[in-house]
Amino acid sequence: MKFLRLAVKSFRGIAEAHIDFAPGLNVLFGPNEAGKSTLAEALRAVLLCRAGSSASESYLPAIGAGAPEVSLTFADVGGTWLRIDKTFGERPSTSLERSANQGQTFVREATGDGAETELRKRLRWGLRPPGGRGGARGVESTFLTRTLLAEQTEVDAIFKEGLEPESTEQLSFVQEALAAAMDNPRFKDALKLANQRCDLYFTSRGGKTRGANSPWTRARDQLNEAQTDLNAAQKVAEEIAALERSLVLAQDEASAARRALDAARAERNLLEQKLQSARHRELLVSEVEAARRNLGDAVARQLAVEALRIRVDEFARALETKTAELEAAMTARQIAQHRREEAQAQLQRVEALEGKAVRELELTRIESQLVALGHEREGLNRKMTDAESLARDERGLCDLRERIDGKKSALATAKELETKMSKQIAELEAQRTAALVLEADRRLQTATDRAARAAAEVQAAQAAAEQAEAKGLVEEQLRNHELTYGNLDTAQVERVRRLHHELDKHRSAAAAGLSVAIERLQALELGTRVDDETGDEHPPSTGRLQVDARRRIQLDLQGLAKLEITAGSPEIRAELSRAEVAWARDGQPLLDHHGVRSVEALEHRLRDRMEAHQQLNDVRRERSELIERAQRLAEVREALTQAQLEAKEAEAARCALPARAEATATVSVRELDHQLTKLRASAKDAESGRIASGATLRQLEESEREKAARITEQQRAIGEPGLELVTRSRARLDAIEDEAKALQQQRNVLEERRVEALRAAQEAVASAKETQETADGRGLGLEEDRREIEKELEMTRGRLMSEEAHLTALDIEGRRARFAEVQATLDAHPPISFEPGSVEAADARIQEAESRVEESKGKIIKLEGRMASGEGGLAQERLEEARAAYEVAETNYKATEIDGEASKLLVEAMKEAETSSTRHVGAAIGGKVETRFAELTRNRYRGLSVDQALVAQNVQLGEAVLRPEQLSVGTRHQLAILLRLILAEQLGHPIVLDDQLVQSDPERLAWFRELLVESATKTQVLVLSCRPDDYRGPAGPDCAHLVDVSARVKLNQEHGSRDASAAHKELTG
Amino acid sequence: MNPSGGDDVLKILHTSDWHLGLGFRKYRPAERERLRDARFSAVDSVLGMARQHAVHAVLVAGDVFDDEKPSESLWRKLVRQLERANLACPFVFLPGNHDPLMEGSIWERSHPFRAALPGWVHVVDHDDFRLDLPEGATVFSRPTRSRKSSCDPVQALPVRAPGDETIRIGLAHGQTVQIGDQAANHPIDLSTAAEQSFDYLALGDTHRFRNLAAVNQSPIVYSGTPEQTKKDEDGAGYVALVHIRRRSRRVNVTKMEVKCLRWRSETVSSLEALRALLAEDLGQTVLDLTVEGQFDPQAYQEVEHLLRDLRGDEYAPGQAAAVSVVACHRLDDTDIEVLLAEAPDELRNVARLLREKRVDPSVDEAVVDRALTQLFDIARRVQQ
Repeated sequence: MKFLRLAVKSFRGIAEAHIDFAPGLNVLFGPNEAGKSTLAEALRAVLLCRAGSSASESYLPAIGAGAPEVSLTFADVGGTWLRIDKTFGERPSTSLERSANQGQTFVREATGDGAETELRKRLRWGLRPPGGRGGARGVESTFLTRTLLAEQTEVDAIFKEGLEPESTEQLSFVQEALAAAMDNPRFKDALKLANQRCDLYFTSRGGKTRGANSPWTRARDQLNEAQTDLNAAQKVAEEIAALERSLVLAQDEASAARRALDAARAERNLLEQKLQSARHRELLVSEVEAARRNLGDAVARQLAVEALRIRVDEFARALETKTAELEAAMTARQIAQHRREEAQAQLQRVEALEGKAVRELELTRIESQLVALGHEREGLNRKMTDAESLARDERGLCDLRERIDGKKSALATAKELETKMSKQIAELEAQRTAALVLEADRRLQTATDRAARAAAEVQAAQAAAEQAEAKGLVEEQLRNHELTYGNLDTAQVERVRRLHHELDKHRSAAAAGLSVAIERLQALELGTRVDDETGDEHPPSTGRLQVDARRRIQLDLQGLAKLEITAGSPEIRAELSRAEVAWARDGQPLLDHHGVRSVEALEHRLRDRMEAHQQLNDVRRERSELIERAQRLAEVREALTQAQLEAKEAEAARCALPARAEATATVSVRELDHQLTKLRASAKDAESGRIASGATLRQLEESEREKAARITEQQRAIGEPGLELVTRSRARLDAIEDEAKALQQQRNVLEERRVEALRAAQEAVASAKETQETADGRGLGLEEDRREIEKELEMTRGRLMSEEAHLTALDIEGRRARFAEVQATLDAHPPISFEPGSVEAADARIQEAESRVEESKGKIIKLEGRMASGEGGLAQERLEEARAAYEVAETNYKATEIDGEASKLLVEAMKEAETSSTRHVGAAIGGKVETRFAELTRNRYRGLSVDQALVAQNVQLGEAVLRPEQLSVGTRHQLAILLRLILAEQLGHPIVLDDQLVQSDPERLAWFRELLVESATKTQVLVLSCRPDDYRGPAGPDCAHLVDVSARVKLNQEHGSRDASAAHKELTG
Repeated sequence: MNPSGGDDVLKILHTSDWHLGLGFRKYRPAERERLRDARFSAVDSVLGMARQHAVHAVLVAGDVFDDEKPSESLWRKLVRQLERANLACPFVFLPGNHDPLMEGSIWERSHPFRAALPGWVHVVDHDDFRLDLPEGATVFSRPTRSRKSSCDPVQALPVRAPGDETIRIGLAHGQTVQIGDQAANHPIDLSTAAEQSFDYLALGDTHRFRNLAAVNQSPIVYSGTPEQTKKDEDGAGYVALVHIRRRSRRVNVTKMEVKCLRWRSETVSSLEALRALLAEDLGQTVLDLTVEGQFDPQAYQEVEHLLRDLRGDEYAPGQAAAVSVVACHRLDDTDIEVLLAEAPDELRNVARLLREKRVDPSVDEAVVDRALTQLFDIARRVQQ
């Protein structure tokens, strides 16, 4: 950018001025007040101040009129000619024009704010846009305006404020301007490479790249694939794991079920053991029974032996008795025989005394005939006797046989009897068992009943306790009631009632007095009225009375109200008031105390209270009863426990017996036992009797056999059967008998006589014989009896001996000891109690556990089947494989990510480095400034640092580091000008130095002059100075475009002409 | 060479766990292919060894494929290999827990794979499988029908009948040990297995070669996989060559190497070590490399270059068959500004700015490292 021409009119002290600028170094010289600084101000005004700004007021000329006008023609960076015209003052205006023909003609481009905006756009100095809130006001000041157009006094203003960071326009302008100086091609290449790498991973928007060539795609595809595989494998593994878990659960269930089964079995075994113990106990009981039976048998045997001994003794005594009787009978027989012999001798004597001759002849003949017949008869009789003896023997045999038969039948009967007795014994035993069962049942029932009664009592006692508790509550209520009304008693109520009664009575009396008075009054009034009506019907006395009465009435009427209150006469009233006082003192407070209004209510309350008291007493009594009953709970419970124990024992005893009684036994066990013992003894007797009968029978049979053999032998000896011979012989006998009968008749006659004689003797003989026979019979019977007794005695003795021997073998003491032993064993095995149905319950539990075990097994088999048919054992392998693949893919993806992120990070870092390099444009420029400054100061100062805001920070003086403000003014100004110049060079914008090197010594000024010339080759430099010689150095004035301001500027008359001319003289002279 | 000598010896080649089609998803696609191909190469080696040793039977004890439903291209490739090999001896495939015989599995008789297999290839596809070998020996096996099971696959095989003096060979797939707290899959009880009285029990599942039999007991052998499937599978890459004397039934087991690839895990912490490692021929190596330590920018850059060369890219294959790198190395940037002495001031400023970022908690140090490395790289390029 170059300034080309400046035209100023009516601007402060300048009336008019026209300056043309050269491209390089322009030295505008003139004396003081020639208008140099005003020209500089005009430049600032046209470029930096808005036409309508209030600040423009300072531009108004002090003398004369007219609005200040400034016009600047300049060429922009592109070489375009532009002209900005501004009129300040009342009618401000701005216009921007452009020339396409090097300033020959201009075309307006914009006016007003538009022109301002356009101008700012072209300058890029960071000026704020015109107008609006926050818009530019007055002369704008930015870092660049301070650099390029600094006022005379602001040489080092750039040290105070650097680049405004918010002004991006200014910043980018500076950055662009300095970029070229800073650009490093190798870094650019590196950045390009880094970007290329980053572009592989990320799009320009920062997203991840896509498509087949993207490293993300490959890594992601691999990862996705691995993920899918892994998910599938995991799913399968989870399913398998779930299956395995289920399996473990099922196995746990199975083992739990097995444990339960074992427990149930153990319980069952325990019960079984109990059962066995119970059975063992039953066995023990039966053993005890057996031992008892054995002992009982032995004892019975002993008793039987005792009985036998007694019988033996009895038999012995009977034998003695019989022997004595027999001896007596023998004595009697001997006496009888002696008498018979005497009678026979008497008979013989009688027979000898009968008529001997006749009878003897006749008798001789008859006797001889009879003898003959008698011989024949004797022969026959012998034969017959033999036959009869044979027949008798035969009959004896028959009898014997009959006896044998009888004995046999008796034996059969005995056997039958025995059988019957056995049956009876069996029956009796059955009855005994039944009786035992029944007794046990009865005991059990009794015990159960007792237990039930005890339980009921317990319940009752508990209920009583509860009731007692309830009663306690009631009692509490009643006691409260009692507490509330406890002080209310009959005497109090009676007193109150009396008081009230008194009060009532006195009130009534008062009221009665009042009513009497009223009646009287009424009566008197009536009387008066009657008197009035009847006139003279009443005597005058009546009239006085009437008057008195009236007076009284009057009095009464007057005291009516009083009467009503005080009720009657003073006495009555006194009474009443006493009653009222008494009532108020004793009656009413009691009513109040009990919160009642009337005596009736109080009475009622008293009744209530009495009732409540009565109830309380009742409740207390009931409660104490109940408590007593409840207190009995413990003992009742104990009774219950006892009863339950007994019931259990009874039950156990019952359990040991058959389930049901087969028969109803009505007889007691003891009786039955007695009967049984008796019956058994009888049975034993019967048996021994039978055995004896059997022996007898065998003897009889033996004798029968002998007898039969003898008969057979006799028959053989007789030769013919005896009966036939007997029959024949009888026939002959009958004939002989007939003959003998005749003889006999003769003989009979004789005989009759003899018989008559004989009868007496015979009778005596017969009598003696009878006596003797009786004696004999008796002796025989006695003998028989004695033999029988002897036999019985012998037999009984034998039995006794055998029984005694048997008894000794039975070892009663051993049996007793055995019984005691088994009884002790039984006692050592207490009855075992069973919960009813416990065995069934245990069996049910076993069944349930077994079914659970089976169920679990089924489940396990099913799960194992599922595992076997699925991935099963491979799931874990597959999962591990998939996991490894996933890890690899993940690692790859991670590597891709790291690569991508790294490339991004690298690019970011490179950009950051690039940016920080740009910000340090100051540092970059610092180098140039530093070099020049060292030159200027002959290396006195080095190491200048300029920050990113282009503010010089430090400079090294030897080892010391100084801030710019610590430098001397001249050096500081020189450093500022150096920095500004170099910046202007870089920006290519003109720089105005308004006499700002005044502080420099000639040497440094000379150095600066050369620098200015050099800088002017790069940008336009406008120096305003009152000492133009300062800038006429070895390079010569050719190097600089000298402009005499005095010649170009027409100042306002009074003000500037004198000065200007004087100055001109100075300069030219 | 026949270690038992004589001609009365039964020769069996026992292998397992081919895992054809294994994913190798940890590696990049090209490396995956390489690793998968290597498994087929190992199968070729197995087949070549069978032919070379003129074995009487080849037993593959499960997990031929990594999945029971491999792709058609995969199984066709195997079929072609088998056809090429054209073994004269019986060849037995046992389904394993990776490729169990289940619905839709490749081992089903209706599967085209079965039809395509040569006639001498047998598949254990029924529970009472037995194969009489021509020399009077019998192979007993039972297919694996599930991925997971708690049934002992050996226990299911028939025991030796009294008086049976023939050579009995068991073929099964399962685990003999419990791993961690997980119950063994297809568990094999060794004591029961010994009671089964097999002259040789060929097992599959474990990838390492192992003989589990006690002293004086018939061998119970895991041949392991012929080609390692992952790192830390030392002892993999073999087959078992089994010689059984016919009369005495004495067994001799020889471990034969067939693997093509070497799996290596290396940790380097110096540039020299890395250079030395990469100077080796790593063409058949699956390298698991960890780089740690601090490198100055120059060395760091070289490390990065070397690693890049090692890995390769889509245009140039890497140096190793497959590689996985864990880069834990760091940049030592102490002298970076000295190293950038020749660089423009701005780049030094950038280095300074980047180093300042190290104290910024929002910036990952690895990112700073990488950015500095990139800066260093760019500075060098700019200088050139």
